[in-house]
Amino acid sequence: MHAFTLSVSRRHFLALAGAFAGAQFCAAVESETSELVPQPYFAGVNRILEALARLGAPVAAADAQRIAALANQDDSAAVDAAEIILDRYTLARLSLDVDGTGRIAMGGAQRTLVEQGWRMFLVRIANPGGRTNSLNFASESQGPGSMMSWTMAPRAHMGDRLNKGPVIEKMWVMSRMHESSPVPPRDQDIKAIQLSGIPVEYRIIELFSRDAGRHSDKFTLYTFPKDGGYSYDSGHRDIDFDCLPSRLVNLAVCDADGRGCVASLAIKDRQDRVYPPQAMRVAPDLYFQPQIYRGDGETILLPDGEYTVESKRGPEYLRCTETVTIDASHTAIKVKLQRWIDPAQWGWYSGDTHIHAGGCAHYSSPTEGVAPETMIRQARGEGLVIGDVLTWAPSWYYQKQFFSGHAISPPANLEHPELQVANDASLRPHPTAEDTESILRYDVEVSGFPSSHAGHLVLLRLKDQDYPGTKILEDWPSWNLPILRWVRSQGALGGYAHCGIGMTTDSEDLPNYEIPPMDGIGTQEAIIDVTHGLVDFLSGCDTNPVAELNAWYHMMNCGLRMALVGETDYPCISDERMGKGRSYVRLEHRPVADAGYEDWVRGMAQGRLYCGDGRSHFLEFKVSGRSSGEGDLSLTGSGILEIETLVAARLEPEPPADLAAFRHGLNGWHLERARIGKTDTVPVELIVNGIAVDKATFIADGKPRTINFKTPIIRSSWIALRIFPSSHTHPVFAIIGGRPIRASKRSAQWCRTCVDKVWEVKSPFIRDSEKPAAVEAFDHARSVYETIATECEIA
Amino acid sequence: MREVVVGALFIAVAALTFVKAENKTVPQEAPIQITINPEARVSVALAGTLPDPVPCGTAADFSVKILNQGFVTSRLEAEFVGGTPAGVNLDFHPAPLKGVREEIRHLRITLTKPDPTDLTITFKAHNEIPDLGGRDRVHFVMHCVQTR
Repeated sequence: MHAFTLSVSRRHFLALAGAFAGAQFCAAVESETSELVPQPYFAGVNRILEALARLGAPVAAADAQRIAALANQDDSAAVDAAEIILDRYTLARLSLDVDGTGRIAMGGAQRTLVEQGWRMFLVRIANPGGRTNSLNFASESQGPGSMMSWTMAPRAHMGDRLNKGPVIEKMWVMSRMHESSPVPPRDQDIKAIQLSGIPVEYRIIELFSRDAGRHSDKFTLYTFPKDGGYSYDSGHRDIDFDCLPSRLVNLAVCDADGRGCVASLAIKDRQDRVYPPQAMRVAPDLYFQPQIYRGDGETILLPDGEYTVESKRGPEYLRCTETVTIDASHTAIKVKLQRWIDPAQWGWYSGDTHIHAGGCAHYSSPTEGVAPETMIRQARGEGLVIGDVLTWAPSWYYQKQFFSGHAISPPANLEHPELQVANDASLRPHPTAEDTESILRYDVEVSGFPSSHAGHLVLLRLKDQDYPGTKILEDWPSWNLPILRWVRSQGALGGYAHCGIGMTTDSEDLPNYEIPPMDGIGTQEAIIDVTHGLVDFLSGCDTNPVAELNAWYHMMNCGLRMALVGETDYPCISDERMGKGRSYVRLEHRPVADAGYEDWVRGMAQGRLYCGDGRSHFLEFKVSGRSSGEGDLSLTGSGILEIETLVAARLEPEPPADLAAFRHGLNGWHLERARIGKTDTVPVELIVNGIAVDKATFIADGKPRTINFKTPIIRSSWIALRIFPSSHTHPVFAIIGGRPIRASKRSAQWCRTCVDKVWEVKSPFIRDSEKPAAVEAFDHARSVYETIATECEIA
Repeated sequence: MREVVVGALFIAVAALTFVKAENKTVPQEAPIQITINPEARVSVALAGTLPDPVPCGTAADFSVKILNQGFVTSRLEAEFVGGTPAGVNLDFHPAPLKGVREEIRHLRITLTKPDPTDLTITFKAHNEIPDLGGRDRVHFVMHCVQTR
């Protein structure tokens, strides 16, 4: 009898074991998934994949595309295929039996954590009984602190023990389930996720490692009774991890001229994971942005590996992406910024007159919003010269402490160093050579106030931020004109924010004569207030451009003047970055401190400006030798005007793959919306009294080009240039024989009808005690527009 | 004695009617709660218990409580994220908002198949930009009762 022997090498053994395990996995998946209904399964999976991307930990692009295709396939084979893909990202496979008993099996994800960093994994939950109670899956030691996930702000937490040393030593890992919420009774301070009841669903677990090396911890599956109450332990398992060491990486950030500065950096690893992860950030790093803002000489913690670093500094700079490797001999990242344009060379200085430090996307706890130290870091990193930080109703009583009536440029220090130390000890603020080139001014947006129904006011250069006689917001007037009078009385400026809101009509023509619904918070009462001489500007570039420009054009056709300025309303309309909408004001010197801010605001009010998205620029604009903001062009009679402009724009070399979808997804102004077909050209239009009378096209390659127009005028007119919807000059006003601009009877009638519409929609919100004054002011506006209509020579 | 019984019955019926009427007017916690912030951004969350399953082909009614901090007087709009799932109908054509602090509207969803259906619905004000960070959407699993 021969002895049968089989030589099995370690490699063969592993292969056989892997095949066996794979077969087991596939069989298990097949038995569980054969009954799955594809729709709820894929709807949940897609939501989780979106959440992972939002947390800065997306699955590989190829896997995401494959799952999207499988979702469309919508059958059980697609579910099986998706299960295999998702297993690569799954830390644990939890099973809940019908009686609530739980089991924990390992998923197929590589269990790698990062020292002093967060990693995200999927958790698969099999729930054949369709239970809808709450569940938590957590590490036992729970780390040195706990997080309030809805605020993204950490708070130290530790049990009251005499000898904390051994406990702290074990606390190397912290875990939390994404989108968990307090379990009733809510005073337990215990959070869990609620099951949807479908047989298989995925959730996200976020893990933080304090240490490097190989570590293990016990993970427990807790389930909670449906109607609240205390949890019971449904199963537990030891899970081990490899924790990659992190290195302190030095950042060298240089401007185009070689000086150190602050820049926007988006750092991703080969799996497109964002560093530091958005899942856990502390100011100045904000969870809603993939980028961080770092200055020359500062640092970031990164584990060894290969990264792409995308550096930017606002729209005047090129976006640069480079690949870097971090290891023992490579512990620095050098960023050399490149400009495509520097408007300051022509005397133009940028500003965003509508940014917020509290409310909307900001933290609500432990502080209400962020401090000037964080805001100035972002302004510097976006190359913004001026940032008007507007305090508004949410966080009003906290943020108003930062109002001083002065321009400031504070060091970009940490506003809460102890939180940074708790979260990531690496960031040590470092001043840069260009720090003084960005200025903040704290002022007010009348938003969430009693008058906000009539349109939000942006108030700039205030000396006093509290309306006379008020102690709380609710005491303020219930319509805007009294506020604008008070603003003017202190030498400040007032205008209407996000001016397109409530002004959108079906027509996309410019101009159009449809009456807007007036149901929003944009230009609305401006149409009345401008007849009282109290509207200094409309603020736009962040909403529907037709709605923004149409009202401005009609009012200017009536001879009523105000500026159009650029804003972002960050981080409410957009949390991408500040400075998406900008104003460029022409000055003799770079604005510095209070005097510089005064000059900038004065220049804006005088019309020495153009506004836009910063992707196109009117570096010169002259009408028969007169620049905007230099006073009226006085003429004795009709004639030909010569318009000269030096204009530059820069499109990305290739249009987006799906240009139509890209344009559809844009809010506000963007040069890509001006691209002619798939060419690299954009149009510049000559606007006379609101009508595009001439047009030229030019290559948007970043090079300044001179373009000339000629146009006849026979009556007093306003003349401007635009690249729609990317930039717009302030007009030059050509006045013939001293007669005011009365350019269009239809415009005057449009404004007159709008007064009635605004009254119809908004007057119910005006207090009875204030109505008599409002009636008088609206009647005044009606009278003004009726008179202007009779003075217009043309329809 | 007979009068006493009739009187007692009358009181009992009246009391029951009153209780029923009261129950009808007691506001239940709306399952969907919308908050419009002062900047007119619309965020939404599940707040109350979802309505019980209804027969397939019948619309399930979801109360939508709106906390309007922005004086918005436009119409709210809702749509499914990623397209309408097969066999599902969303009916939400509410009257324009009045701009007051709190209002209720109703959203109706009809399923034609009894299988559980995972729905994600996004809300916004007409002609407005949706809220950021996914706060404009809510999701839940729903099913209907097969009657035959």
